[in-house]
Amino acid sequence: MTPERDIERLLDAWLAEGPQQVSDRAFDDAVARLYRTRQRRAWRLPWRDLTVSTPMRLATAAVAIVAIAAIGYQFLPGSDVGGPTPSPTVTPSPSTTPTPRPTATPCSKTEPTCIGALAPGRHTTGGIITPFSFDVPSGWTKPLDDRGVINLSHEDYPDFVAFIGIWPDWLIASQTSCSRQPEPGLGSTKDDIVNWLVGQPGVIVTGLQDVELGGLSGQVMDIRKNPDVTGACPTDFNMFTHTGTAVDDGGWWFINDDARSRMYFLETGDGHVVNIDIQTESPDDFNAFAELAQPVVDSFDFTP
Amino acid sequence: MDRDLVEAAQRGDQEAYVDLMRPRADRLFAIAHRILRDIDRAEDAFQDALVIAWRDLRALRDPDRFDAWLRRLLVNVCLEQATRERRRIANLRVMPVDGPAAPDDLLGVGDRDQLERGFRRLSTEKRAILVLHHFVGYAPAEIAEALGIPPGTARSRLHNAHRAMRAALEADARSAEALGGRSA
Repeated sequence: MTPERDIERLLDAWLAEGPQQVSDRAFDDAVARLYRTRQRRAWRLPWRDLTVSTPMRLATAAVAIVAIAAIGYQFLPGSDVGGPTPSPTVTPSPSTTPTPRPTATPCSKTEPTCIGALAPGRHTTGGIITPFSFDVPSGWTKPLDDRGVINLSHEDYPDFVAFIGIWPDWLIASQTSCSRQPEPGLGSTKDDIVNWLVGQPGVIVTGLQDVELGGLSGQVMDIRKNPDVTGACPTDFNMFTHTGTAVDDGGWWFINDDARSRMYFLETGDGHVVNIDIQTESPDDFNAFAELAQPVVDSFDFTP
Repeated sequence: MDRDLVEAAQRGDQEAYVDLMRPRADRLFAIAHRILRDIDRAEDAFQDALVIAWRDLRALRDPDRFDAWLRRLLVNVCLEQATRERRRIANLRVMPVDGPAAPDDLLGVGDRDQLERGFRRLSTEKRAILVLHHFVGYAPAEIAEALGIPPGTARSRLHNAHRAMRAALEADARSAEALGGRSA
């Protein structure tokens, strides 16, 4: 063979050769595995979809290992996926956040970039562009801390079935296509977002009220998807995106029929709007988790 | 029809998911095999992709994009698996051909061996790009979508993959000559 020969034609022919059929055993084994695997809820996955950096994924994996060792519950019940995560990550996150340090010991109060179990006490955030401090009792973990998202989860609610999420600077996502593109022509102030949410038939908003939290002013409400209204997405109501924002980390938020959320929208005064969510996958968990989460959220302090 | 199956599977209907995957299984396995060059590893990647796709199916926003999403997931499973495998000693054994072979006037036995060795010299990502283009039939824009990279980057990586394959074949030919072997 000489390199002058048409390499593309050779590759066409050569790659066409080889096995074409998967064995029945391999297919049946895969089917057996999926019957034992629980589907993940949708709204926490988009961060894994495009832009979560490899260090962050490694850190998150390390947290899972810590959870197994320290807490002793069965991680990801019902899931026996032994392979890699599905993250099709190729491009690193644009985040400038220092690489979180996965740790088997609880994050101390002086380690803002630490990812993992949190020691009881007051902590400061690491990478988020709207930094704050907060108090946690024992049992809380910080699995994500990036410039566009912080998650706080509790050991009684593993695998993100419930968590506190903090996101800065949402744009309203497309209402004509099920995508992470922003809906054109809509603003991104606290009032723009709250007024838009209240006016959407696709979500049911209750308990809207003004709130002061951590030195910031804003509004809080409980929301859930209206199961009788189908929007741009087949199973979820498309809500917010970081696409086109300064964060632009691939963040995308939507809510499905069962999820419950208490959402705060707070203005920082320097152009940011902070969204805090107390979320549960199941409506049955909401009251109990909110009871755990509310004191943590009430301790947030955004003052420098 | 497939859109209905995707949506049913997103609602947790496992039978719908199996019906959705059954006609796609052979193609997925074949793609994994071309990238990984090993039947056992290709089966592992196929199974992982099938289960992960089920697990994360609710993250698929547009059911009409299911096939592109699934192939992207499969390629990434292959890339991750190959990363884990890098720690092992490279196995340069030439795979036997157990599928349909190209006409003998296009590829001789020596050509196949040389292509196999050259291909195995490439990074897994370059292999994936070549497989997506030459086996799946993707244009650079579709490769870009499958790998989550800009179209221009896909074009340049495809070009680089071709160049790397050519260089690998040249290196293989030089090695054969140095050993007194045949350079076809």
